[in-house]
Amino acid sequence: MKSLEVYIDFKSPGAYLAMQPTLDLATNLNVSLHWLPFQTKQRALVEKGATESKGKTHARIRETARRNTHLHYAQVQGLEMDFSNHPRETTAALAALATPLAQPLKFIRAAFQGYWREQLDLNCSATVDQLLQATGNPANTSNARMQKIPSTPPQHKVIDTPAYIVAGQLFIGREHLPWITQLLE
Amino acid sequence: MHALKSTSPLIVYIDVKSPYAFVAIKPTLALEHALSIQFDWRPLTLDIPSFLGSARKTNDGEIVDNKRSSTQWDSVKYAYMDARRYAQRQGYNLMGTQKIWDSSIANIAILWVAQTAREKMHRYLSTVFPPFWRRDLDIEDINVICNTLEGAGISAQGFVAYSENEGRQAHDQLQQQLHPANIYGVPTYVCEAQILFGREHLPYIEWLLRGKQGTPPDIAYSL
Repeated sequence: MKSLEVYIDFKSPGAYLAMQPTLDLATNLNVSLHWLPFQTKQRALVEKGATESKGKTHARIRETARRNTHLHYAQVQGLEMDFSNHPRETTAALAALATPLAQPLKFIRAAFQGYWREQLDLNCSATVDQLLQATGNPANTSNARMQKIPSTPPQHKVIDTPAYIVAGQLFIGREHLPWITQLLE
Repeated sequence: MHALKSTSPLIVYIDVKSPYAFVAIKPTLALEHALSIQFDWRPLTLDIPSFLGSARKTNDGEIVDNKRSSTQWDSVKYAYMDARRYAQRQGYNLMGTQKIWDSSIANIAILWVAQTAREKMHRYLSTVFPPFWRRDLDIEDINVICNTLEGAGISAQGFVAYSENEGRQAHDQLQQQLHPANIYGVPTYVCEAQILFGREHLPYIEWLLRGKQGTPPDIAYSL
């Protein structure tokens, strides 16, 4: 069975929206998925300043547009997506994902839903332990947080999620799924 | 010219010096051809140093002037790697640029073609982008752009004056509207009052332009 490595962060809107299309790809092609944690940097929306540089204006408009685009495609996928408290840290949940889990997919689904629909604090060990238990995994965040979230392979500079590594190539974003599909067929 | 209004159902903003615009040209032209619609192609001349820092390389690839952070470099390197592999799939060679070019003359020529030879827009785009990205075209040289227009079968008679006067004014006036209209990068598509950045939206745009039949598609790069 072929495999596909997928780097995700629960606070990444792109990773959230990529989950179902990625699962569909895996089912259709009989591919095993390896979900791996990656700590992204998410930007908060900023208010328009009284005076702002061209670069600041560009960044403000870009972030607003990205958010609107994510909301648009969330609607297309029939997903709820609440940006009201975005971004929040997700380190505890990512550390848990870095450990061997009995039911990784159930935990990932619950963590994404917790972040984007229920405003859960995925940086809180107790909350993440509850999620782990509820999804059939041992509560392990106290151990997990002792470890570092593993770094990505040095030959692939992951800068955002979802990031896919397949056939020695790095692809960032679910827009690459047509090419990834070709590589896996 | 209003940034968000057109007689065409789709406005396409592009910049000759953008690798992402380059790899969007072929699939966007293919969609235009498939739908038998004339899109409204327009220039968006990026001010790259304002959001991605600036840098200059020698012919050997040595960086001689660097005003970019490591994060900006990582983003730029991934963007070029990604655009390069899709360009190769399209049969093109995409070489990294050695400096940030002033693409305004080549972009003003888009307005010129739209005004004087609209039916040959695909020829201009197909004649200016590939050689620039092979490092075979000095797009800051107005004579080179005149030759490029002529090479695409478009008269360049009057283009020099246009690029310095009416065309430059139209270009600059349009650029001033873009940030206030929430347009910031290329390619940007404006369709039914929706502003969509990136060629990954072409499946959705096609769905819109074909009458919204069936389920709207997710983002995807065409192969």
